[in-house]
Amino acid sequence: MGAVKNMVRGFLFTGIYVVFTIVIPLITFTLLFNIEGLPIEWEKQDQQNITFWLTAFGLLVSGFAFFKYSSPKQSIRKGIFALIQVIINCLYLWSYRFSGAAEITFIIVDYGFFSLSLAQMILIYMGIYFLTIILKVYDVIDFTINREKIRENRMKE
Amino acid sequence: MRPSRVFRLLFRIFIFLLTISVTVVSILGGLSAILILSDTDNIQPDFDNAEFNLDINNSTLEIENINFSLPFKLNNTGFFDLENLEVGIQLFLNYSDIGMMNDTKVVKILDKTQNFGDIPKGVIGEFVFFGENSSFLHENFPHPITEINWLRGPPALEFYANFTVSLDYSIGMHSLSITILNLFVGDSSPF
Repeated sequence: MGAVKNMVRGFLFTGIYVVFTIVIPLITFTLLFNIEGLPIEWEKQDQQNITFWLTAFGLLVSGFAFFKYSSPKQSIRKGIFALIQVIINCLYLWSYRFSGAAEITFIIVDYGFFSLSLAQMILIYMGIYFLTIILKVYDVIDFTINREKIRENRMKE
Repeated sequence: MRPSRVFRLLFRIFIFLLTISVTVVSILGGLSAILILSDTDNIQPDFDNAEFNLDINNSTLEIENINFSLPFKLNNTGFFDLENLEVGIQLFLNYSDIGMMNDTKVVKILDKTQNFGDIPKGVIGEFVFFGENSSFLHENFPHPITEINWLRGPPALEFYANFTVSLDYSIGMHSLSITILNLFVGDSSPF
């Protein structure tokens, strides 16, 4: 019964991650790229580039979310998948930088252009992810050292 | 609960609070950008009061003095202080070149960036950009006798500018720059 529950949990979280890492960012960028009524155009025709990287890393993050959330609580397997997922999350965030999504430039027709740089913000989020990586490494060590105690507690439940 | 789990929980709460703080600052920063950019009166270069002085020696037609000033206002309607406000102006001279069969030629005569510091939130910053004689690129000026066709036009000389305002907000997390290209700023004709 526990295994089925874990599988359902895994699929549920995969769905949530797909929505947050692929669907919402893609809808946001599609709306931005197709803004109408304002005299602005995208300077870079790199919609395909942004879409590709967000989808690629979004799928990886969502895939690892399944393995993480379908693993038993406090298991070494869960710890390792959680660590890999955080590292891929970092790459996902970094993909915003190298796909051009962190440096948004609009052409204001017959006037000039304006650009918005979010690179600094992404670096701050990367710092937070670094702290999360420390936490996940700590988890893996904790789950390994206290393996027997965790098993005993699981049996009692 | 095992002590290691208690430590983990505290560390996790710390990361959560950090994430929430950064997210709130990011959202307010985005809203600030919308508030500032949605009203064109918030960033107002005062081109009506811009001054462009060009002193040409009547006998030698040499440029003796040249300077340019542009007042502008920036209203910080956002949630944070605007930091590191910089205004950059590139000034171009358009003239007819006698040596090139009176072809129209454009040369850059000024490329200057001036830093005006910070504007606290809710404050309208009033500044004057000033390009003094020494900051002009005198080596790019065409020779007044052998190159400029003073009989063109009028006007014989036309001045255009690229105007860039750049600034940081949300405690430096977002950087914004607005550039106005090819703006006519004045002309000159001795005849």
